[in-house]
Amino acid sequence: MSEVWIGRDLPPIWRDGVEYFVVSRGDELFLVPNRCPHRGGPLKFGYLNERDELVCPMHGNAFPIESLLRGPGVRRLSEVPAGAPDAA
Amino acid sequence: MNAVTPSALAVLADRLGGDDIPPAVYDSRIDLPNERADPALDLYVKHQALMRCYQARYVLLPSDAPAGGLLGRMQRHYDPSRLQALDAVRPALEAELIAPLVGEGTGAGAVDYIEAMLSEIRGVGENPFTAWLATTDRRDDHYRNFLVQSSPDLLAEASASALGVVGEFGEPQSALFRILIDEFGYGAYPKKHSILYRAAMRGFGLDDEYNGYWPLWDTEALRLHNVIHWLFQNPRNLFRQVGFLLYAEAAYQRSTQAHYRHLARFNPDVDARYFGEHAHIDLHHSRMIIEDVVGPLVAKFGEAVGAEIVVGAELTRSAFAQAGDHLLAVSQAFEASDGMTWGLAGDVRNPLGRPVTPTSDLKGLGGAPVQVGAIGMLRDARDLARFPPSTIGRVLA
Repeated sequence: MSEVWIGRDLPPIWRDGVEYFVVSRGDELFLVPNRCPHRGGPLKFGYLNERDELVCPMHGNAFPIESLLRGPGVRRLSEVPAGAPDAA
Repeated sequence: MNAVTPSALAVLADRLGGDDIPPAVYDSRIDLPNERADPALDLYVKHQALMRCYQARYVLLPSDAPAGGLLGRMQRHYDPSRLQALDAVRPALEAELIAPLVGEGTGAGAVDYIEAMLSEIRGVGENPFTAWLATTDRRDDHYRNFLVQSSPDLLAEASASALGVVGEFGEPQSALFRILIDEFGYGAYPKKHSILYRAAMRGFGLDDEYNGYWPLWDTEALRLHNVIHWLFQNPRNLFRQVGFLLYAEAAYQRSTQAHYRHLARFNPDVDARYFGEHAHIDLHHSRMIIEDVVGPLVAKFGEAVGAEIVVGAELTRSAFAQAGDHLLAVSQAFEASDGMTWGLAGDVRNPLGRPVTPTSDLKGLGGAPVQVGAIGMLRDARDLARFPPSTIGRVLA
């Protein structure tokens, strides 16, 4: 069972004019640009295959989650937002 | 089914006054069927008429506002009475011109057919046309003709297959739509395939407006166009449409690769993105058609559906082969002619000139010159007699 989860049903997340989607891996959260490196397809509507690759819905290009999370523009969410219940 | 009468075609011919030449996109003339004794010319005019039937449903705008304004021109072009006249002749034209071309299929199941088809396409050697071009010094003139003869479809690329994605038919519909998105540049106008094709035409000094070279399109170019469009007119042909895409995506990937290499070698300054784009994206499209469309449809609805897909693929294979063989044969016949001038001279739409075929009364033309596609002009029309039967020459006024 993959420990990766894609936030495909979450609303669009915009930062500085770029649309992101949420990827959860273990206890980590990432914002990943919602743009396939191949032709700009909406990656978040793809699916995870059995090799933990995210498959783009447009042309079926498959990207290993590990390399996707190391890609340009990915933001790791490492801090609990101020005001959240677990904030210090 | 009523036969197509000369008077019905004459209505469509719709000759215009000398100063009333419309913008290319709204130029819906056909040649007057005034040589009924020449079956090749009769066939040509009927294919012109059928092409006009299909074109009439496109949304078309000229690149620039026409003199006198757009709206009147546009409304005349799409006038309901004109559309009705086209609709009236279309069934008989399709029955006569296209229905006899549809075969029974091969009897192979879809999976076996795909395997054999892909193997055959991969095993084909060098593209015959580009291979021959490499042997002639007049390759640019022949390439210009290739671009012109292909332009009925490619300057409005995917307008036929766009008709095949309307409605509601499950996941394969979305897969077909994903392919269509690419054809239309995934939302980016400069990436639209027809726009890339325009750039290639400009690279050879050609006008890039849709329909601008219609008087030069020959019978085989029109036949290919009409076969493709016929497939997509009626949802009854859905599975044959899939067969068209199955064959076309696989074969086109190979042929565009050959054209891309040809241009890189002989015309490096020409914008070849159209061919490079297809050589790349059609690999994806071919796989998408097989995995996301053919496979699920056959799994769900059975091999009867698969047989229809094969019928569509075989029809496409035949139409492509016929058009490709003809293009090469005309080029070779022109090259072997005794006296010619190369290239295009002036506006091909005004004056329109008169079409002739190798079986027309060429001696009666008194040695007049005749334009053959965009290749060039034979100094003596009688030379046309040696050309393939469905060649069209045009005696310019």
